[in-house]
Amino acid sequence: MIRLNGLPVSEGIGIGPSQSDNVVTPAGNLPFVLSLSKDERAAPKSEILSDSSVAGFQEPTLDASSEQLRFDKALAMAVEQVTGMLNVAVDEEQKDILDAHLSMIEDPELAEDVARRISVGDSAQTAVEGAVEAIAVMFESLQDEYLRARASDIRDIKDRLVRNLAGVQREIIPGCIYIVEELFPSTVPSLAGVAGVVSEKGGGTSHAAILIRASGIPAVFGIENITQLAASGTSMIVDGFSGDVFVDPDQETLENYKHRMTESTDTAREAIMSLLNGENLLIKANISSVDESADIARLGADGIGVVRTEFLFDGRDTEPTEDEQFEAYSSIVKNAVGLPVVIRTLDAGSDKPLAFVPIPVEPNPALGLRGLRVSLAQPKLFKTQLRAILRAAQFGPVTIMYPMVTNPDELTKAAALMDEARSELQARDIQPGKVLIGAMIEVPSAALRAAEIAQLVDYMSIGTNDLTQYTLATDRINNSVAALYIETNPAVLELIRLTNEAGKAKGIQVGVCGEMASKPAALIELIKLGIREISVSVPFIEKIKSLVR
Amino acid sequence: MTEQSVTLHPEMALHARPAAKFVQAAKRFDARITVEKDGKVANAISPISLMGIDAGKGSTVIIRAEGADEVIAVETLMKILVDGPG
Repeated sequence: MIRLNGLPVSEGIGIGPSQSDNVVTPAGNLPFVLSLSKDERAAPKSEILSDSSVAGFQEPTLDASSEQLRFDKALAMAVEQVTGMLNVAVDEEQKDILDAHLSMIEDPELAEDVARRISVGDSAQTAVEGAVEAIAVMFESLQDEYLRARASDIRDIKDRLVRNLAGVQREIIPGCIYIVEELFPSTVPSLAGVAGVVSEKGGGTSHAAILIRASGIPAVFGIENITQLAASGTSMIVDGFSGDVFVDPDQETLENYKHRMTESTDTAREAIMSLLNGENLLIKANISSVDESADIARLGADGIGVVRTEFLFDGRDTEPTEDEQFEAYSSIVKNAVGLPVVIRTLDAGSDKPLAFVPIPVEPNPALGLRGLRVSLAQPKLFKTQLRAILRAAQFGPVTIMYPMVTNPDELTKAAALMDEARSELQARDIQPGKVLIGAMIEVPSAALRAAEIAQLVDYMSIGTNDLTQYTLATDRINNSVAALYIETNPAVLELIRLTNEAGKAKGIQVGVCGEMASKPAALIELIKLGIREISVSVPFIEKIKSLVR
Repeated sequence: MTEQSVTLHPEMALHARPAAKFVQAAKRFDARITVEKDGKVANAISPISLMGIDAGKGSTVIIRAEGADEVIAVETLMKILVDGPG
């Protein structure tokens, strides 16, 4: 057994076999792919092996235009990969980091430098490595400490482009302890299901650290030589509380940690079961794509608690048409096979500008034109979405939910537009489906007036992320105040209680969506308040289900 | 050409996320826009070059724009830097 100690970056305990990262070697050296599987070692999927100088040692003659084409493809693939991650990202901070990452991948000057290098005879891989490394070295020379740390984000881009060029993707095995020289931010979204992460480099404020914390995967950074010390398949323990890492732990240590792990889960399960006392807790899914809805029934979710429709609008030059939206919504409703689906109307704001929605640059987007306010200001855009949802509702039970409701009168205005949308469909001889109406309760004023709002809707969903931010006047991605962002603050809990009581008095269902519901300790508080419906992101469904039955 | 010297909000720096937002705003204009600090000049639609001018919290930069919408471009971008993070 080897016991090592590093920087605890993300809390929790992970036990599992190690998996070393496969490495794509720099161009010019003998290309060789190190990976878990022996088959791959025998026959690497790398293109660079086949066209390189392994056999003859002569420099292959490079055709600049075909190298440029390979780079263009690798770049387009990188954009697609990160956009895909963005589409399923749920956490605001995760989205911000991925957004910044995407914007660096798309940097025109990076592409120009690579093209220049290719034009003077570099291979695509050498050009990418040269161009990116020059930027990383430049970053490391900067005065600003934060900017110096971004060298890692830049090398992340190199890693992705070189992998795309070589056709070698990371294969990460669920349940393993992933060990890597340096954890890159854009690798984190593909780590779902791993038991823990150990890296040699990296600080607690790196983007990778922020993302791994948000994902809830135990992680320890700064364990020198771990990739050499633990061959793939070695038994390991990662203690994200203390920073301890055990390679090949003895039986006693292993038993101790296993005990600690089951103890914490068992305690949470016991507390939840006794609070529920035989009552049911509905567990629904938050989704941000049509693909995610495909797994809902298989995972045993009780429905879809929020469809974040922004995925249809983000990154486009023109608004999605009614038919296009109808296609997406009806696919989701059909995938839910009769389970209730709550479709939230567009939640846009000036921090996420859309080309076809004129929102001026605002000094304070969180308090600006966003959510339902945008929809009411853009009735044409809003009614197109409403019509698409009303049409999709013929395939199953649908609730249309409005985000960022502040005052009850906004719901009256939305209802008038809903009537217009219905008539417009009827004028086209289309019978609108029956829908329920829901309101997101995420602004303190709405929680305080939940009794009035309950008179106007059939369903209320408490968005704890924004409710916490607005109640405590705390932007959780602002490091100087992030410590104040506590979802179980008594003020936040009181607003949740008020809302739930108001819903109960009117006899309508109240749910909680937001990350709070996926954290066992916070979930216990919600159940104590009487909450019996939650909606969590897809990866958490099985975990939460295991706590309640 | 329009140019304007700007002192960043004390909590604002041209870091990864703010740079990405700055680029997003700059792309909406036709004018060719640059940001200079201590002789280093960045292309306003290149987040990497913006981070490379090392504009930490509260530093002073010069925004320059050339093109039909240069005045409004400089005004809008200046506001982002002066107002700081939301």
